[in-house]
Amino acid sequence: MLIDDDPVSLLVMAESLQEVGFAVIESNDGHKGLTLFAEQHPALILVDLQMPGMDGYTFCKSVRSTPLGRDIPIVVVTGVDDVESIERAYDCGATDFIIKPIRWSIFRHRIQYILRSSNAMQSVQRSSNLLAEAQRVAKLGNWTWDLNEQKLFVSEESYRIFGVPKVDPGVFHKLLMSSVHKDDKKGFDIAVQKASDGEASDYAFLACLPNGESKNILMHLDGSAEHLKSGHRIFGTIQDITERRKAEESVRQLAYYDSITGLPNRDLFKEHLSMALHQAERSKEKIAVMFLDLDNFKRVNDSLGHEAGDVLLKAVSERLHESLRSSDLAARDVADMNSSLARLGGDEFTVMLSGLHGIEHVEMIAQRILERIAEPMMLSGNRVCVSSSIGIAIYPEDGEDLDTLLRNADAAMYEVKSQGRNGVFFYDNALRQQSHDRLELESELHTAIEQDQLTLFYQPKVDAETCQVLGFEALIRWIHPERGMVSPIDFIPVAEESGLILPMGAWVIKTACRQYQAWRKVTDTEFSVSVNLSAHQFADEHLMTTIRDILIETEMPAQFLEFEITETVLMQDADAAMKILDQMKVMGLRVSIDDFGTGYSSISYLKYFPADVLKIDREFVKDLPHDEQDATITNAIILLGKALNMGIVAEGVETESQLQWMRDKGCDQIQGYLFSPPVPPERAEKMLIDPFSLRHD
Amino acid sequence: MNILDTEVLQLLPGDAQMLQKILNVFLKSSEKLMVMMEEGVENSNMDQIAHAAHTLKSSSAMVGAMDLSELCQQIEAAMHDDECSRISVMVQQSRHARQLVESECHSLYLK
Repeated sequence: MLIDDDPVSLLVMAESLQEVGFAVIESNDGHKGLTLFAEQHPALILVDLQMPGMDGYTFCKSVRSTPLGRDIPIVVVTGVDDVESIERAYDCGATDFIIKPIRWSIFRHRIQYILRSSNAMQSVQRSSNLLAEAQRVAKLGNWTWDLNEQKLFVSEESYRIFGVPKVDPGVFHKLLMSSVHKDDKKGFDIAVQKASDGEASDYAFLACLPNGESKNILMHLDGSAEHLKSGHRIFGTIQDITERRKAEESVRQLAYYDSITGLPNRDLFKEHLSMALHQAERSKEKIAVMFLDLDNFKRVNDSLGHEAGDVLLKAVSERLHESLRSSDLAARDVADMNSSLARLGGDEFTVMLSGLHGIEHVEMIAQRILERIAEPMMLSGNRVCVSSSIGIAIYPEDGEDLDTLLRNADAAMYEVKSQGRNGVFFYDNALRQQSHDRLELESELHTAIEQDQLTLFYQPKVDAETCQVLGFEALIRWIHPERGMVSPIDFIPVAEESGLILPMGAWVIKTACRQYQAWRKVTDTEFSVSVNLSAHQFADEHLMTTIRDILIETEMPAQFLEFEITETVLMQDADAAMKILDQMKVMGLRVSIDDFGTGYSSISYLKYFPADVLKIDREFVKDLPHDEQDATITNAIILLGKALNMGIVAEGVETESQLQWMRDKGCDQIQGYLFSPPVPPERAEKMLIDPFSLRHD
Repeated sequence: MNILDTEVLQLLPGDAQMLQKILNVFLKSSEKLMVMMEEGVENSNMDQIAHAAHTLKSSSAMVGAMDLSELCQQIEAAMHDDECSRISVMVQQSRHARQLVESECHSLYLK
């Protein structure tokens, strides 16, 4: 399109252009030119700068301000020496200029060139717009990093992904680096390093953006791109994959969760179980797999409809959750327990309990689930009761792999069904019995303490030379009304696990002190009583307070109360043990090291433990005097104790020859069946009044 | 004297018929511009003179009427100095120069 108020110019320019095939639109006035431009969309505009009415500058501006005219080439025609007007025309948006007088022979070529470069520009602009648009849609930004010049080029979408306005690429670089989540930092650095070494790498990381948002970013880096060979550069893209991740998550939700209850489905449960099995293998913990089947679900479904059935399933899943809530499971050995629920389909649910140290509470939990599910519920106006059957398999006893455990739990569940439903069945019945017994024992132990079924027996410690009774070791016994005497070996572990050991231990100390006071009234001879301290008691921070209170209450003289602590317990935390022993010594108590020589060798510590007595374990004594090795060890223990000014007590002395051997080696005191087994207090009292006769070969 | 530079005319695009058309258009438009300048002198309308001179300067250069173009340029330049009397003289000279161009056109191309 030509715009000039001079008809001669218009005519000549038109002729020149028409000769090479251009279609020409003419206008002798700016306003008319604008209208024609809007109507006919010319490819190029030639405009005279000085015209009456609207001049060329205003015309340029007007064209540029329209969407259509943003990119059209505008060539202004001006006088040869008019630099000022050329500059002004550029400011108004002119693309190029032609100087008068026009050289017609090159005029048309100029116009053709301008048009072509403008087309090229526009096509670059278009493809760059398309690229930007494509990047925006794909949430993909690209950047190039010049390693030599340490310069970064960043595409617009990159800024948008990071939610920041277009900033200096250097600022963006810092922003990018600081946004990488700390857990992803290392991987990020490795990926950058790889790219600098000329390799391609992909890295997905979490970016913490300045606006507080977090986005999943997938970064591709390529230091080897062929087209960038000219310099040492890394080419890269960053893509916002947050939405994709969300989509993946919802796909996962669909694939791994039951749509009715929201519980994990069979596949996810298997994943959970598989992970738990790996963990349990390392930590030597147990896992319980429960199969739960509703006994009368089909009836509910048939009589009340599927919707009611779905409501029931939801309610059951909620009740399962409640039954497993750890706050209700206070017992210590389920402190590390994790649970995982799933619906396998139909009316079948599974429960996994992992991180178990024992299985004592598994049955209790299963019973609780059973009771909770059996509670009546309202379904579409009807009061409905459903019972359930639970089969349990335990790792590793009932199977070491996923399939075996699932199969066995299923089998156990069918066992319940065949025996009349509404019950719990362990795959391994003996195991169930064991867990049952243990629980029963614990509850009976509570009763035992309340009903004074516990009692102390006393075993004398005798002077090796004079056979005089020097003291008694108090030993706990449980006389069960039905079972008779229950061995401490059976009930002490139960007491320890249930936490009963602490009150029980205090009871032992107190009872021993009272017994001492009772005996003092019938004899004038000096003697002591000793009490064993278990690991749990020794670790109890209130131990010393408990002892002090008992001494005050029973008026027990501390120097006649002795605590027997095994070497193993002392060595569990030798430094803490030393402090407690020091406190005991300050209080005037006696301390003996029990079972010496059987545990972790503590000879180097021995001189730091302020103990009064070493007790030689019966294991070394039982084959004396003929076992040469035991003889050597025992002799060494005696010599060691003597060297450290400690008294020596030999336990488990049963024969005269053992007594004689001990005497020969210089052992001070003898404890064992040779003189007396542990006996009730009445019989022990007789030994105080009526000492043993001297035994000499 | 360079009333009508035939070399310039030879470089113009188009054939002889086109050239005649160009010259006719020129004669017509230059007459209009001359009248505008003369009116401007009469009414002391400097803007009108300036604009007409500017257009006629390039228009006449385009058809090789170099003397006329030169005069117009001088008028344009004199505008800045505000020399009214001189401008009036130069406009009269332009009128004469244009007359020469017209006769030349007619004798050479527009027979």
